[in-house]
Amino acid sequence: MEQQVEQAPRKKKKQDKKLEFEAGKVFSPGKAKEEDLDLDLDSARYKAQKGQGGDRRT
Amino acid sequence: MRKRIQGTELEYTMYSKKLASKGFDPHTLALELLSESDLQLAGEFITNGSRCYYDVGHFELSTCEVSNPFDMLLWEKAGEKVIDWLRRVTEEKYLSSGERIWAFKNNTSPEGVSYGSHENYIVDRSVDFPEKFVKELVPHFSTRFIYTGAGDILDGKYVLSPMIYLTSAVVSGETMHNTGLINTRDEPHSDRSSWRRLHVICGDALMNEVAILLRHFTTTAILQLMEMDELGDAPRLKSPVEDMWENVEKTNPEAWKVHLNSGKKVSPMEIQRYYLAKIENIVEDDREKRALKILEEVLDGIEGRKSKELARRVEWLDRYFAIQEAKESKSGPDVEMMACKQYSEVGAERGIFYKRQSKGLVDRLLKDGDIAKAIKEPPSDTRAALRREICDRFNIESIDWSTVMVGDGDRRRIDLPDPYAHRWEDIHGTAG
Repeated sequence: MEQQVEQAPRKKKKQDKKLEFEAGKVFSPGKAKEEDLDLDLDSARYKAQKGQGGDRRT
Repeated sequence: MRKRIQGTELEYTMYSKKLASKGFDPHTLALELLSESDLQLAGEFITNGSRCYYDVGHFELSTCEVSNPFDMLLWEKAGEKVIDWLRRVTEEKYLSSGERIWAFKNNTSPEGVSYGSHENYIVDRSVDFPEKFVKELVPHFSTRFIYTGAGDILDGKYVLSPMIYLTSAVVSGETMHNTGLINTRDEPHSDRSSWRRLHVICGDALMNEVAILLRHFTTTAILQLMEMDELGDAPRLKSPVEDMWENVEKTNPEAWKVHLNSGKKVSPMEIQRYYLAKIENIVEDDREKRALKILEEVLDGIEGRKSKELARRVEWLDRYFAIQEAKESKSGPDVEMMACKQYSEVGAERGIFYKRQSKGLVDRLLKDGDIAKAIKEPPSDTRAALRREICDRFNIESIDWSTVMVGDGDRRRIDLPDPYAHRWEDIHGTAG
């Protein structure tokens, strides 16, 4: 392996991020509405693309 | 047990009828928002060391390198929560009130199209591949689904594990078609003279914390036992693929059978108890002993047919009960499939798994506060921590698992061939 050469660390320029992660959105998302708890025909019929999931060969 | 670098890769599916009608793909919109967020680190990496990218029509999240099964559970769940957060913020930005994006952590869509959930384990290069893996690991992979199966409906029937149902061979190099229990892909992202990356593609996308832990606890322990040459007496299976295809369609444990080379027929339980006894010899600390105890309780529960109690820890069984309950309260031709798929929705307000978790119907091992921390920070004892440190110190030109190009006046490359190296000193030695 090539020998690494230590250099004085430079302070990285901080970039402002517009969007901040909010834990409250996923850990205490609020009380679910009744319709949210219903089975949803629309979402359950979603179509997905084939990925790396294999198939059945007999 | 020894430390073992491992990680998971999950293909999450996002769906929005509204966005699809406008020609937009929620996966790419979510990835764009992620890159503009405070979770973005550099390139495709986020601050906790995981990698997020678009792959074959999915949002793929490869977790950071972790060193043990307990951290694996924590950082996999952290990744799941990143997806849920992105789903929500993408909804807020691009959709009107009441319009939704769903995100699923499963392996098949309702029409049966499949996508992957892969495990990766770093293994000593000196272990014979694939011969030793076929002899000593295949008996595990072809039977572990009795407690690591997620459950699914495929070809009109309930199966204990979609990925076992869809696996076609003992050994294969393929990942989309004709896949094997042992996959021969070997991209170690590390010093390949020392390590192999065992790429496991026959496992399911899981919601249940106990099931995720057991998947990694058992497999990690068995890989160590293989390296120690302690599994030379592993049961020899005559027809593992055919047997698992038969077993995966049966919810009654008494109907499960495994054919041995000797001509004897045994239960998958007996194969798993062989491994249990071996693992008992290498567990050391309290949490490993606790995991072993859980494994033993789960195997006892299956044998004792304690189904309600077992469903707290075994996902295929809990999903099965959730589907039965949906059928009792709803009518219509698609109720079973709807319940089956919504079980895996990552939205805590809408997913059936999370509804059941909030009702206390499934066991938990993690605390939300720990998951929240793992969303932002890498584990401290793997290369993920070092990569994060480099990104915090330097301006990054490009980044991969094992190589970082930094540009601070002088452009230079930092190689990270050791996935266990986690401190700056590990790659530079001591100054002097």
